[in-house]
Amino acid sequence: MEEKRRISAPKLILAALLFLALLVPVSAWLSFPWYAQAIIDRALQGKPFHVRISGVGIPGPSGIGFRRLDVSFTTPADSCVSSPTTWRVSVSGGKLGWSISNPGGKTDPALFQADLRLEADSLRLNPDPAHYIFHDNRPKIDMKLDIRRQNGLSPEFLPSSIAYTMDSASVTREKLRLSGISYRISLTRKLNWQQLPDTLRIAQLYSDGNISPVGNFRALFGSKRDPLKPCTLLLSNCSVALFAMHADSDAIEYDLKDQSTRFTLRLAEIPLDSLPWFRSPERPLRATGKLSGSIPIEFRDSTVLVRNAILTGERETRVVYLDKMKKSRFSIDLGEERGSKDILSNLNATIVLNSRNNNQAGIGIEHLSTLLFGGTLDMAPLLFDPLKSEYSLSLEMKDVRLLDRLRYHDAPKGAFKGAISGTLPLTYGKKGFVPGNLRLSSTASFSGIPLRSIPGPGSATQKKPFADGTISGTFPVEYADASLRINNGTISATKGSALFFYDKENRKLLSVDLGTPKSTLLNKLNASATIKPADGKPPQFVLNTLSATALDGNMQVSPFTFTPGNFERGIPFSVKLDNVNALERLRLHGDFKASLKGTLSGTLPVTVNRNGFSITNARLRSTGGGTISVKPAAPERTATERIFGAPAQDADYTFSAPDLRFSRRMNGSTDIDFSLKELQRKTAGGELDLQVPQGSIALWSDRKRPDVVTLTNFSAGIFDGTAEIERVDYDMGKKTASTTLKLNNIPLQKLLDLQGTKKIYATGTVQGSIPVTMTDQIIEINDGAMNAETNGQIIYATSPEERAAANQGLRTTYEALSNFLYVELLSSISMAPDGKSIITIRLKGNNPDFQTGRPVELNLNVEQNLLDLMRSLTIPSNVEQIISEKALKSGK
Amino acid sequence: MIGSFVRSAAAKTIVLLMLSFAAAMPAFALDLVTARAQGLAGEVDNGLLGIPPGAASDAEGLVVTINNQRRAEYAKIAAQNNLSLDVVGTMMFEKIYVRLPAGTWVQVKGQWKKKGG
Repeated sequence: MEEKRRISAPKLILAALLFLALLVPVSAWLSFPWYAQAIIDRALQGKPFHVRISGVGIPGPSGIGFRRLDVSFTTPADSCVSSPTTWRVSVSGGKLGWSISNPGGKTDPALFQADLRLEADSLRLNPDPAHYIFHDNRPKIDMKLDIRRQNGLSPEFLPSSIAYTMDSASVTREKLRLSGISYRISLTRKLNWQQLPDTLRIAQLYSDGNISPVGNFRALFGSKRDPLKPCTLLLSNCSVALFAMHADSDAIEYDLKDQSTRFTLRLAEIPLDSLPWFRSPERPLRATGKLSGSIPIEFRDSTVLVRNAILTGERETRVVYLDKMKKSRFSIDLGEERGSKDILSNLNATIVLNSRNNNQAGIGIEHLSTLLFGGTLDMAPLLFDPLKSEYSLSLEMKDVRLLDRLRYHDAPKGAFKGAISGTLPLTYGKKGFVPGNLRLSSTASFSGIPLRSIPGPGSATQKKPFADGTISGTFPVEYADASLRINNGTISATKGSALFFYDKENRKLLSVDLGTPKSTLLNKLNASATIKPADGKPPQFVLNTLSATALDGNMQVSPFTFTPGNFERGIPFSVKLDNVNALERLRLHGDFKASLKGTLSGTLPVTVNRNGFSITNARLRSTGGGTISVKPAAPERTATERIFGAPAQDADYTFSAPDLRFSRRMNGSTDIDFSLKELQRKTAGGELDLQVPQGSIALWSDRKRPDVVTLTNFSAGIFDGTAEIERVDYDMGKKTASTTLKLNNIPLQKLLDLQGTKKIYATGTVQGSIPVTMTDQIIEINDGAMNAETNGQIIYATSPEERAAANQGLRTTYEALSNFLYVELLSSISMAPDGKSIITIRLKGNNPDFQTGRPVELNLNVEQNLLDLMRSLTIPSNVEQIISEKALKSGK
Repeated sequence: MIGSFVRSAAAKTIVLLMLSFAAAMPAFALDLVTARAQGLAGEVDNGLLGIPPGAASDAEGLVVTINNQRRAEYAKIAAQNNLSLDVVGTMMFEKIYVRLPAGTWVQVKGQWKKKGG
């Protein structure tokens, strides 16, 4: 492309030199402006010059104006140029100024010296057959003439010097334009009209009115030629900006005869960060390192051939992609890899300048092929659409191992691998590069990508990492017709990979173990997404399918459409899980420990928008279950403290077949309907079995009281009966709650068994209503009632010895209770925060074996410390535990 | 040793108990033998009576009454011999079972079946 300038420049000089000759007859006219055209015609009689002047003004003492001056002349063919060239020069709005002096004075009165200055609005030069137009606005040409008067009308004109300084001239040839040309022509008779070397500058090459990637050309050249190469124009110290990169060449030799040249452009250690693409504050791209290259160029017949060009990057050369926080995210490594520094190599191109084809650009790339990152890149002909003023081109890639050079910036650094093949049609116009219907395919693999750096819930707000470990995988990707497909992708995670959830105090609460040392986390990952362009709006993103085998089960995401401008409304989609083996991967932290097993199935309908996410009527259930152990951190205690002190609060909760239905609104308020097949609470003191516990939990439903968890409609089977709680608000901050526990159909015998006594037998069931108040985890019962639902029997079995040993009153009671058939059983229960409780029991009925079965009423008051009772019940197991611990220690 | 002694003492008492049951039976419209023969009541392996599956509730009152009596007696034996009610009941069932005519409903380990010939 820069070749154009190289051919233009010498011609320009040639033109300028010839123009100088033109000024000889012009000067004739200058001396005698009043004869103007007639003098010119006479002066030029028989000479190869034609001059037309029009609109000549009235000459002043030191100048004359004219509207237009047309000059044409023909230069003959010579050994370098095979055919004659006709030059047409037109100057418009010109003004010729002069001053004439007689430096010779009396010694040579016939000799005058004229300083001429031509100023004009514009100057055009148009050679034939070269067909280019040189144009200069406001040209200024200075010329010195020696004028010798001779006999007759025609004086002798002898030019002594001419100077023409171009400042921002241009050369146009059809679709190409060189603009901002500057050069200083300075010729003197003394130096035999040789132009001394001067710097030619060309600011920019335009093609079809658009800026091309070639500009800032500089070269030193003058008119002197090598006598051994008379037809060669020599440009030295050449440099040009190619895609904003500085390229240079020591010398360019242009053969006038062949109109050809051959040279090598050198790109030497170009700092990438000096390029404009990596300096823009709006663009998230930065670069480090240096590029070098060499571009061998041949030029002939308006055709530029690039042969075997290479572009290399030195070590640590890379392009870095920054995220919104200006932190580096990705980089493409352009430096040396596996001993090869080549980014591009074996680059061959055929570029036609000024193609006559209307569908081709002023700079027509007919062919381009190169090796790129181990693969090949071919370019189909570059076409130009004159209506849209756009270039279009199509790149064909094959096995371009770009992904091998993609780096993920985090600790540890992730790595990618993969070759890209496909076609990339591009248009280039006023909007810059716009990709067309891209078709790409690649098997992209990645490894060591840190989970924590993947954008996800909480990653921005959470101070602690929300994930640990790294993932690896393979994504066979196809992109065509604006659709992206992943066929049979896999993802696996390293051992120790996990997602973490924290509580309000930033303590680790729950983690999901993702480590898959043996199997894959996700496989058979199939996805298809389409980007639908919308007129004048950002394109829509449509997820058509997304499914995978996840942890031996299946995961499927419903199709959804994402419209960037419409994010407020949210993206609704639903995640369906089928037998995902997830429970064993749940870990609880702090005071909790989970040991769970089973698969998870269900549907999670989610809506994500700018403010967060909501879940509507999700259902997750499992056939599995497991145990959650609660072991509050307690200070070390001595054996005595452990035997006689309060029992540890350790408890195991074992559950099975959890079934959850839940919804979460954008503001975080969450409703959970739960049911379990069974929940067992096991402590050192005993076991509590709940059958089919179920209920509803509301979290964060009241913004003013975020700590309050509300449990409603709770019911569970207990001791063959049922326990129900209509509603309880538990304040997690204050640890307070107040509710009424309703019991129904509880076998009396089970309650007696709880007391640990083996001597009382009873039939019948009771129902109860027990108001419970919890303050800072201490329970208080006020005026609870438990009454028999039916008639029944109570037997307090005593041995004859016990009866004999008892006093009269007690003996009577014993006897009455030996077979008491009650018709009424009422009891009330209260318990103070310290555990002191009063249970009053009123029994009505009779004993058929006692006092002929007369009706008997019994009132019993039991005062005991229920907490102490619980403790006393736990002592044996405590003792057993401590003894076995000691045995273990001594065994070591 | 002690266990077997206790058990044998309990067994003796049980024999006496069985004799006394017959005498102490109140005048119900339906007596136990008939109820069992008609399949309205059956013996459970805890020494108590139960209503077999699908049976009419005619014998319900009888069953409750007899069970109350049996429990009271079992409890006495249990207290005297430092046994639990269940143990005594189980031992009783063994004694009752051998005397039951074939075809009587019995419940063993939660399963109702008819005693075989």
